[in-house]
Amino acid sequence: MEKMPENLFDDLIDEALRQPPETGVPDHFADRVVSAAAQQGTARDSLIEFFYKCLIAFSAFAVFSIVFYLVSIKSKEPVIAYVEQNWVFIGSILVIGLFVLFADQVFLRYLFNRYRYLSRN
Amino acid sequence: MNDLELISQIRNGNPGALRFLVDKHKNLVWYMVLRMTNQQEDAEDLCQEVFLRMIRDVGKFRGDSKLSSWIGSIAYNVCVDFLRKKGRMKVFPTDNLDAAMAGKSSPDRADGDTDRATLKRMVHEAISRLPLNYRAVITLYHLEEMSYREISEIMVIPEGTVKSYISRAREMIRQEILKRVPDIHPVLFET
Repeated sequence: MEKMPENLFDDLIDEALRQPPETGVPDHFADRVVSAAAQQGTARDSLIEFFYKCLIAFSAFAVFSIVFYLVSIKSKEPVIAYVEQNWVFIGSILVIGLFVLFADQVFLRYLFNRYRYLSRN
Repeated sequence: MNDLELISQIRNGNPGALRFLVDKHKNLVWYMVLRMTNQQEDAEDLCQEVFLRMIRDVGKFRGDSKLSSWIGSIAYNVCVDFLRKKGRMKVFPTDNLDAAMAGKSSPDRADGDTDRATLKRMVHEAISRLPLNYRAVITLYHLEEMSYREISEIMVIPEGTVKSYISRAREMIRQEILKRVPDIHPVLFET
């Protein structure tokens, strides 16, 4: 192959490599990122808030249970017997309650924010 | 405002600081995503993903490297993940130039008049056919004018490898242009 004028060829390649792509960043891009970040932050905050609420509720229930168990009350034994016999029912109520709380505090909030974000963009 | 102060503002939830950072680095991210993925239609979503990932991991930035290098590394990883999901990744270049370009249909030889603008377009086409790491390196080096050290931090490869990739990428581009325009002399001397 014939020897090339190397410098000129290199210059041409350099010139082409330094040329940015024809399509540039859309004008609204920064706004879009800020909106998406706000939405992302809201979803994360909702989840964290939900876990804190569960933790507080669980802690309160645990403290109450321990105190109730330790304090000598005549009605303690029937209550414990009732719980032992109906633990499935009681557990179901707790799970449903947890689900409703999650749906309200996290899922629905996420859906509404997502709807607002999509309608703006 | 230096990088750490800007990051601190973003961690505090300052939307103005975030907008400032996005405006400052959007071109870097855009060029990387476009060149690495060759996906015009997904570019905006991917660029957004880069910045969202940056916000999620903002606590990890310690100021050891430049903010642009850190954002560049996030952009690189987002592109790699995207291409991996699409099954289009060829990250590790081979030493064999022919093998690296094998399997990709070569454009036909240019016929008729070829001017400098056409040659430049051919260079861009050749870039899009390079292996992924080569595309990333030459984009960062030529478009963003990053140093070898910054590029090596972004891609987590030695500086020597960066230089080698740049050199090989240029050679691959050169070979492809010469295949398409064997008689390149007149075009090079055109003013």
